Amino acid sequence: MRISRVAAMGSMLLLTACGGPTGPGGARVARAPRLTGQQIAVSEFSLDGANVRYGGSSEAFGIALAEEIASSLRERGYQAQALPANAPPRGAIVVSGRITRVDGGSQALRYFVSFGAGATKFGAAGAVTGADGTRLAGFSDERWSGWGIFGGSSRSLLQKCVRQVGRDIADMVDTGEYRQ
Amino acid sequence: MVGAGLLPLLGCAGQIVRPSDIASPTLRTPADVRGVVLLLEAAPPAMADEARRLGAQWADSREGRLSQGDGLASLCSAPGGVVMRLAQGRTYFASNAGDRNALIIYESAIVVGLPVAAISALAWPWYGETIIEGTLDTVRCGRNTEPTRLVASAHVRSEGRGLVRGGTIQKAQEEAALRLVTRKLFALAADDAR
Repeated sequence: MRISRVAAMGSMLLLTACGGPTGPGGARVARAPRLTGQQIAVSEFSLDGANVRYGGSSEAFGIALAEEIASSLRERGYQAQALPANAPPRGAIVVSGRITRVDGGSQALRYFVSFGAGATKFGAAGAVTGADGTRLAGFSDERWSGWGIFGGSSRSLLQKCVRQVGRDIADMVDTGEYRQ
Repeated sequence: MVGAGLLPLLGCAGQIVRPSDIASPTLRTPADVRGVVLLLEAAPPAMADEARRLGAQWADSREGRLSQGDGLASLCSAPGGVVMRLAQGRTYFASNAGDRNALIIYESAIVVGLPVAAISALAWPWYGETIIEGTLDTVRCGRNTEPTRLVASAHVRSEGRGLVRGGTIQKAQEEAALRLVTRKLFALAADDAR
């Protein structure tokens, strides 16, 4: 019995990523020209109008998401930088948007029920615009996470989802295939 | 005795922040600035220290202190100078170190889980990321009396293996991020002064 518990804990390590739409089958996809060589500014995502069901502080999620997008784009060879809300945009291309959902879920449900119950959810939507304000593409993404050590704290699971949504958006900007 | 098997893993977390994690922007010192006054009361020690180091590269740099009710422009001594007030904004820290450590402690406590604990500590990397926002209010003496606010953020992310506390990662990254955001703000200020 102990061995099965050890095996179960080990397998949990493999299940700590965030779930969500991962391919064109999960959401409608719009295509836009790929970006080449332009400097990209990623503005802090706003929390205005977001569906927030989380007791902790979510005020820094917007800048964390922008930093994750910029960091993922830099890893792919783009010149990208994140800008806090009050900073003037500096870049030929601007990625901006708002957070649509911050849901901390329930650690008790995640631990005792599992199978998606009590999952944390994080979503964002936005647009890619040119320096003159021309809208090049719109995007939307959401990730959820229902697995963590002893149910996982809502904060750490939400942070994981912020990272995943950031990587998703960077992937859309890179490939030119935007989920709507 | 339970944790004895994990002792070899202690202290092998490696360097948390590498110099490449905080590659600094190029700082171009504006030639026409004469006299820089730094206000560092609202800046944490690492930020203030970095500002002093960078300020020394500008001509006639000194630290100032603002009296209550006075504006930044009150510290101007001559046209061509700059008064700069540095402050820290929001912070964000994320890490999986807490989850990792909880699993490792649990697996060690049930003894039979020691192999899983050891494998977790070696195969499952820890990560930590810190984002710090900073602001720099500047007044160009003889040009404007209302301060211009520059805002920047710094992102430091690191990964490694072995055992490490979340607090240790946070402390190391926070200092690096404070220094990086200070460099970014000074670079922006130098660009604006041109």
